Amino acid sequence: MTLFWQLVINGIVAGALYALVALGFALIFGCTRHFHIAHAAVMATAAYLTFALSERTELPLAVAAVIGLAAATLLGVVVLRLIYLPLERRGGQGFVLFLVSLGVLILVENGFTLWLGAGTLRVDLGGALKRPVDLGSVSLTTMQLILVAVAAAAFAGLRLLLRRTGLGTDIRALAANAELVRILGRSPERITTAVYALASVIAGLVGVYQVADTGIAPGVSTNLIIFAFVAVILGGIGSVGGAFAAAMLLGLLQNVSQLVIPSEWSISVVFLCFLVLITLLPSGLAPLRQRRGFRLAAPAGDRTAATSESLRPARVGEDG
Amino acid sequence: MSESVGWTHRRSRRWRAALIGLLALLLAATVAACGSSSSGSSGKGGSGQPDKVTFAALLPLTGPNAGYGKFEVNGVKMAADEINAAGGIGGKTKIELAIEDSQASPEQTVTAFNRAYSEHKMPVAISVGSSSILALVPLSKQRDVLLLNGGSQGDELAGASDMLFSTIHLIRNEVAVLAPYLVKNVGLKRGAVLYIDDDLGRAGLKDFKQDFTAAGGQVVATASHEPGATDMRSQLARLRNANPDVLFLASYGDDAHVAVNQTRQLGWDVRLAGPSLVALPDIIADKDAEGLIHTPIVFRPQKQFADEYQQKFNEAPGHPYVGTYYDAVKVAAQAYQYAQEHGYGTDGKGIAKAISEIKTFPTSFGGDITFDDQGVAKRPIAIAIDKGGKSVVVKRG
Repeated sequence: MTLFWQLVINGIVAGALYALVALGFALIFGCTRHFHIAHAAVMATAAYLTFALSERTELPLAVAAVIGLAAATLLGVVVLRLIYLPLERRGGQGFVLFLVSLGVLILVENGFTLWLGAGTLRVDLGGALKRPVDLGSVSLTTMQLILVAVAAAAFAGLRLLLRRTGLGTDIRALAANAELVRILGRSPERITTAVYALASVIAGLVGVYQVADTGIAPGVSTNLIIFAFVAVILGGIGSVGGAFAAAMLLGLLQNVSQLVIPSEWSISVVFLCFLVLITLLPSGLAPLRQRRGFRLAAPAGDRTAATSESLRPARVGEDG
Repeated sequence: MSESVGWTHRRSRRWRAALIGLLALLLAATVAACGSSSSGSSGKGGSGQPDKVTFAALLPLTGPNAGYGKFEVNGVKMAADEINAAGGIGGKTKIELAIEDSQASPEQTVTAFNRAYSEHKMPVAISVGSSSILALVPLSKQRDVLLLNGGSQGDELAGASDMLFSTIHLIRNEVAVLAPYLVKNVGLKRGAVLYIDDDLGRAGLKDFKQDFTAAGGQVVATASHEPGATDMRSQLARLRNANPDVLFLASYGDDAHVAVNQTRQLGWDVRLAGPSLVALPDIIADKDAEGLIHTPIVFRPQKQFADEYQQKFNEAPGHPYVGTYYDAVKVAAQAYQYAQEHGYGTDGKGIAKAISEIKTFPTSFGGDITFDDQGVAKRPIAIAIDKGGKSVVVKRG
């Protein structure tokens, strides 16, 4: 039983990490339909810069982390304003945008690898945060506790922002109907920029956590983005809450499944469950429990539903 | 007017095309000339002994193993420079190195081999990576090129080819010493294994199961992790649940470091053990690895070697690979001369035959190495314990 609870704890920690990435990814994807895989580059930027500034210069770790976060946010916004938006204006969307985004990811990751090497880079926290906290028969580190708290706070904060603030209303409006937003005199570009900044800050936090905990190496952030994408699809496109829940579920599944199957199969199990779930629930988890205001767009007759349908021929068939 | 401009334009374009074509031809001819001159790298001098011979070094200059690659390349360079400074092999044949980036991946290694071979027709190729070297085996037979390995310890390298020799021992040699020590000398009867899910890790698992059980121990749990994994906590939690006395790590590089750190982060103070792959300087210096029982490849070069290395590369010879790759070049050079003196021919086969006959070679490690029937160097294997961030030898090999 102890093992079960330890695996649950590990699952929650892994889920929290996936969830933080998925939150930003879901926000961007739900709002703009940008398959922003360079979100992984944003994460990596925060991680690598935190490492470089704290280990290669005299800067204190906290300052390095703040600069890393700021640079990551800037990268997210710059990629949007200087690459995606001009590209969209010239008619480059969907797959073209994805390829460009992939190009940015490869460039940024390779740039850092060239500069700092391909090994795993870690910042030294002096041990206190990595010491195990004893919770009876199970344990986790202070770092991990902080991660789970940050994920919960980010989720709650985003929920509040989307439901209770003007910016949240704008974001939801943009996700539902960009044209209408323009007609009402709001600038979709400005709202999109805010979305990217918000998502990039969250991704930056993940980067800082990674470099302080397990370390950053080429490919680490890309692995995370794959899980985040699965969570976004599983959670239901356009649903931030669904993405969060699905990410936690993925983390739990990946870890708790090790109770009965060897660890080398845990990823396969996660993807098998994903296939089964998405076949049974083509719209993801979100429709199971819809909360008004926390879905970026209305579930039917809008851009979200159209995209969902184009991704799922089965449902088109049902409609016909 | 416009017609005449168009004509002039077309004509000048044609001229430009002709000029570019001519230049390309000239360039091709120059490259071909260079290629043919360097492919005669073993062109014979007056005495019948060639003036030079090319050794290809297919090593990771980039990619995740580039950190090791630096030491490997330095070892190779140092040996070749030393031999050349003394006049070359047999006082005549200078060694030329063709250093190519293999990234330690099988595909890149094969590409690097083919590139080096097409240009130099070398009789010797030095490389690293169990899977990469195995990928080279059929090529080396076809092209008659001797293969030398100084860094990979996968068991499958033993006897893989009569054209392959390893100047480093394999993981099974280390486990055969370490596993009985854990059971008989330290009294650790229940073992758990965390292994990296690749050829080397699986070989380590198999060896440990076999030798630990044979010594009277019992393997109570095993788990694997993906190469490059950053989260092994659930695997470790499962292993802890089996309540073992010792956790054997069949992993390497950063992955092994993550495993060591996360074991302690779980609050699990189990005794750790592992082969030399785990005993990296960073891990030994980490207090989480305190008490790690391991089989180090002890590399304490002579002062002259260390000084020369320091002068050449501006750092201390900080890794045993410097020695094993230095030895690889020395072995090839000595065997090359022997093959020539005995009329075996200085191709890969001739040199391989010479190594099989000489068997025992001096090394940069101080002692000698002897190649067994499967082409693997036998070196003394010591047992050490990580005490206060230092690898302290407790049992000499």
